[in-house]
Amino acid sequence: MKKGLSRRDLFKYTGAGGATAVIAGCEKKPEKLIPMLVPPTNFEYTPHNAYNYMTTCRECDSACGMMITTREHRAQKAEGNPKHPISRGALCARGQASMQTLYNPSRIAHPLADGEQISWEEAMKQFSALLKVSSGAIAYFGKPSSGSEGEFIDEWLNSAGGGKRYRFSLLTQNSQREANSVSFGRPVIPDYAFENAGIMLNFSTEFLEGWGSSVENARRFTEAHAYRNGNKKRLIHISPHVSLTGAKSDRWIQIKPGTEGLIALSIASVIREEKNNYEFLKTYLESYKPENVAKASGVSAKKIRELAKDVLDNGPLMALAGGNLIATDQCVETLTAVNILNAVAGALGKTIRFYDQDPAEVTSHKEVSKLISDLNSGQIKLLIIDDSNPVYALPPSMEFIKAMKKAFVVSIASQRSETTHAANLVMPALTAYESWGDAYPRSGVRSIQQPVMSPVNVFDAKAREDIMINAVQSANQNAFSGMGTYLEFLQIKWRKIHSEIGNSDNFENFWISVLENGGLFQKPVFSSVKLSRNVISVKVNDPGMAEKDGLTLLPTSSIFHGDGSGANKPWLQEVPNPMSQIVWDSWVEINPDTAQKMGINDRAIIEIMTANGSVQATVYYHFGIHREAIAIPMGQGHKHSGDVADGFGINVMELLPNKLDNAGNLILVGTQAELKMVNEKSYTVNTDGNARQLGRNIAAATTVEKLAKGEEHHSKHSRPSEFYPDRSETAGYYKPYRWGMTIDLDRCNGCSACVVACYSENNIPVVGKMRTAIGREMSWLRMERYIEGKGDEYETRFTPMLCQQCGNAGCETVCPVYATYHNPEGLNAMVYNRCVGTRYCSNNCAYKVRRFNWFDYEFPSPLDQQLNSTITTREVGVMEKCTFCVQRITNAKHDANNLGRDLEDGEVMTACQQTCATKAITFGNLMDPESQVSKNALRNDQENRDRQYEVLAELNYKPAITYLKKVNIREIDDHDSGHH
Amino acid sequence: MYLRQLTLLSFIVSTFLIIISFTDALAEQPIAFSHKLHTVQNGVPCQYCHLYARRSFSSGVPPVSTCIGCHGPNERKLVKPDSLEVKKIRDFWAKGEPIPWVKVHDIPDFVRFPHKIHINADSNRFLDDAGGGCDMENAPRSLECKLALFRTGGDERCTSCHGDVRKMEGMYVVDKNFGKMGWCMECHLQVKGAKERKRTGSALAGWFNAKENDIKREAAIGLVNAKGYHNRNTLDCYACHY
Repeated sequence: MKKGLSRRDLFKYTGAGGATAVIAGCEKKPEKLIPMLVPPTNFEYTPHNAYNYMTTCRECDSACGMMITTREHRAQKAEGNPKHPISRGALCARGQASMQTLYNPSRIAHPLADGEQISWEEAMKQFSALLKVSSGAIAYFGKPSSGSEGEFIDEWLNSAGGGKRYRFSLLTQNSQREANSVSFGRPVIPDYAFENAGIMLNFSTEFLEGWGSSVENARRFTEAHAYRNGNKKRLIHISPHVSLTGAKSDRWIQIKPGTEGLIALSIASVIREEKNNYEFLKTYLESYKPENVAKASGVSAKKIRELAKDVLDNGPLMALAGGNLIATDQCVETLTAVNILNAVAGALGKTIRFYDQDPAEVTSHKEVSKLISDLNSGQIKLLIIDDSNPVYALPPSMEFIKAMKKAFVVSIASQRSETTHAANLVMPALTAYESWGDAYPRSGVRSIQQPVMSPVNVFDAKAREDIMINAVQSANQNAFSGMGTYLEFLQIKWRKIHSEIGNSDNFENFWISVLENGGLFQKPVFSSVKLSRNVISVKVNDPGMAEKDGLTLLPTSSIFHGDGSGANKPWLQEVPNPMSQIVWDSWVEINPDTAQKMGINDRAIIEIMTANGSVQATVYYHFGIHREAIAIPMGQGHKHSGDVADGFGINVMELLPNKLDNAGNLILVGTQAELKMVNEKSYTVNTDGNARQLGRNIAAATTVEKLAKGEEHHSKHSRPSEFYPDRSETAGYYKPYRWGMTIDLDRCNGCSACVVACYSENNIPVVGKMRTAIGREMSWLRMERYIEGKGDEYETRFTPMLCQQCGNAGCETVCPVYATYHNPEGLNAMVYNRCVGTRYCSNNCAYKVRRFNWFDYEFPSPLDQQLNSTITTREVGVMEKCTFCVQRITNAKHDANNLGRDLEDGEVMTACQQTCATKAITFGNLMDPESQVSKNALRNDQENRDRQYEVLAELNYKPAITYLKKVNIREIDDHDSGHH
Repeated sequence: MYLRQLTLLSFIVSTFLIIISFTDALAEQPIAFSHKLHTVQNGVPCQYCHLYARRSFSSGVPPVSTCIGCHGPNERKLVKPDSLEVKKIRDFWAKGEPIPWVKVHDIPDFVRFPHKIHINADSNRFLDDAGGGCDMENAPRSLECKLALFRTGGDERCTSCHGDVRKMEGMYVVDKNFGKMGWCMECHLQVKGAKERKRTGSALAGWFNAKENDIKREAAIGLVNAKGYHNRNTLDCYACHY
């Protein structure tokens, strides 16, 4: 026998040792309880409890009021401020995704000098030294701002020795101001009083998806448009392109690109003749009579006369125009034409009202061109780009980036972008949710922006204005005397407001009430306007785009990406575009007729070539586009905006020439594009399996006529007798709550804010393009889009689809471990810690709303700080799905319990319901016959009964969600899916 | 040679040692804080330090400033200035560091336990005879005694789960099954209407709890309490797991 250890024994012992280590490893390591050193005393703090702070959303210029829920001093959820007159509690998808502006991993963490990290002292030293040497040759390039910031920048430039300021936005309404200036003598943006309208004509405006204040528009439009008391006001979409707004319209009048103005004047000519008003327009309008514009616009004279008659019969009229598609070389003329139509039809002061407050100043492209030439000539030595991304937003043909290199560029920004990449000195800024500010978007609304939490700890950033104040103070000692921060400047402005409104309370109390309410809200003041006689000098010509070679390029606005700043938010990339259902990409919309003629198939990759450049993108067949046009959404195709944005899709600006209209704004429509097939197949990911319902009647619709005749009347479905005893609302199973939901498809416009809200509330992971392609997206709520009919007479329907919380669920009976079961409150409960991941439930779910965690998904830091701490973040191997926000129900029940009462109607709002601008979703207790949801879902009166339906009712799953049919004004003949 | 046997033995011993060290040993706290001293001798109520218990899911670990409130910084010597353990607190305070307490009562992360609901719960929700026959002398941790403690309310209620902290020098878990679902359910099954409601949760619901089940009958089985509102369902999985 050998001495010592044999090799065999060594293995034995190390094996035993290994086992020991494993056993020890399995034992739970004790967790640490780290208390605070000093608890916060100047404001309330209780762990786990939610504290809400009112602020202003800064994702676009609309300035919606926001309520941010914070827990443990971290912002976790953005909601609309219910008191705010613009948003009234709702938010759009971009507003919901503002949490990813705050916690975006691609935020700038340190000051950068030519891409190298430097210290703040060094950066500030450089900045103030630059201010000193370039005094008088400074240009400030920022975003439009309606609040105190305008005055701040003026004062700042003055103290820096003078300079010019530019307030640029990609999606401007500059031409509208110019047109209103010509038409009414005032450069203002009107208030659209949808509620006063009898009929709405929409000239290519994307008013539900980014033009103007889309949340307010959606709310007011739906209040007017939704089916009520047997009536429905109509929206007629007059455009070469059907966007989300067009999809909500009741009728689409297809016109040739750029002929909106001709149609408007033509309708006006018929109406004027009938009403015999506005004598000075008589000869002017006669030249636009329907017969004269029919050929140019592609709309028959008969149709135009019908439209005019419709307006006369159903008025008051509201005609809207604006947005990308009217930005032709005749943009101002088109908008003036629509103003004339509104005036002739008597809409002024009724449906189109003008506030007495002028909107924020916005720089035109013409002024930007001047800046570019000033840069090139060396007149500007220091260019400060504040929270703006002109390198991306301006067409490369303007050669901004080349001019920018001539000066020293300081970029103050929170997010990485093409501009910060090209800048010499980059100062990391705080986001709007960590800093002070205000906005006065319209008369009667002064909205405050307050920090809702201390700055996110992984970024070494400072407030934009504070950086500027500090820098200018070290260059000029007299600058902002006595002020250390922007808050002090802001408070001086608000002290003025306080004395102006004659508030008898002292300023401190007034200030606190402003912060509590989210701003100061008063009645808006309107001023009346009159159509100027000068309008007859405005000539609208036939643009003749459709007749030119090639297809007219229509750069449409994106509901998610806006001016491009939305592209680096994972949620906004992951949530499918409601119209195309495409994720993480750009696409080219083309009419199937045109495409087939050219031999281009759906989802092919084509090259789009214009005189200015060429890009490659995927084809998307879209009935809703003129045969001589193609449409590409804006906002994608970034190069230096962070991992989530870079390399996805294309930037349509690369195709546009540097041509300006009469108001000095960039012409977006008017470029002709050639197409060339590159590849028959593309790697584009869309989440809709089939755009057709195939007779399944998932998104049902009816017509006003049918409802009036009572043809939709049906007694509740008689269900087959069943093995299980009845669990319906009356049987006494549910005590005291049976949670239910109704979704009104006549109100839903597909904006997908609910989808993003669900991601935000429920810690839903983002899985990316590749995994979405293999069906592993995790959304609990999806916006299904279905197409009915064919060709020009087609219809788009949207259905939010989420767990139906079935009373007789398919998933429950197949779960081998009872991880999913029907709870006594009617919820189809999903217990994560019981789930073993067989996925039987998902297979047996007819609605396909269950999602499986194939991996432990990542929430890259600091996005993990946004996670809702009141629910479990699921891990690998677990099934998950919509819970009707059970955490909100539970927390509300705790509170009610402590107050000694049952929950009241409306006390619990699901995240999707809360953010819905159109109030399409109702949630509540079906056991309470007086709750709103009971009225909508269960009432057997004519108002409610005839539109109620359950999706796939024939399966007898007894869903807790009742849908209300969309109400059309006409029957769509669906060739593809047969009758339903 | 004994070397082999010796090595083997040492492995076995170390295995046991490691297992033991992770299970039964009293957690070593950074400061030898005595609950007994503070609660019994000095009469500090539980929620003086665990101040969030009635308002939040979490009961809260006292912030260092709460300790310093009595044990003062060096120049303002208040309570027990000479104790070595108190000096440790002052050191943490002086360094501006929180005290890294070791968590003793730990429930799994997939359970949401709201302290506030338990602290504020109405004792009348228990079955009338729940907690009867408690023999505090011989079986203080019997179900009956735990229920009785809970019904007493106040600081006694805390001890129904955490044990009699007032007798503990170092903190430890009293019940072997603490945090296990059966341990929770023991008490939850003693709530009025729990079993009846549980029955309604089965597929046979319709027969047991049919239309004629009016408010009176609901009240009789404890679904509705004396104040006329519905008691929360304490047996539903979704009560704790979501």
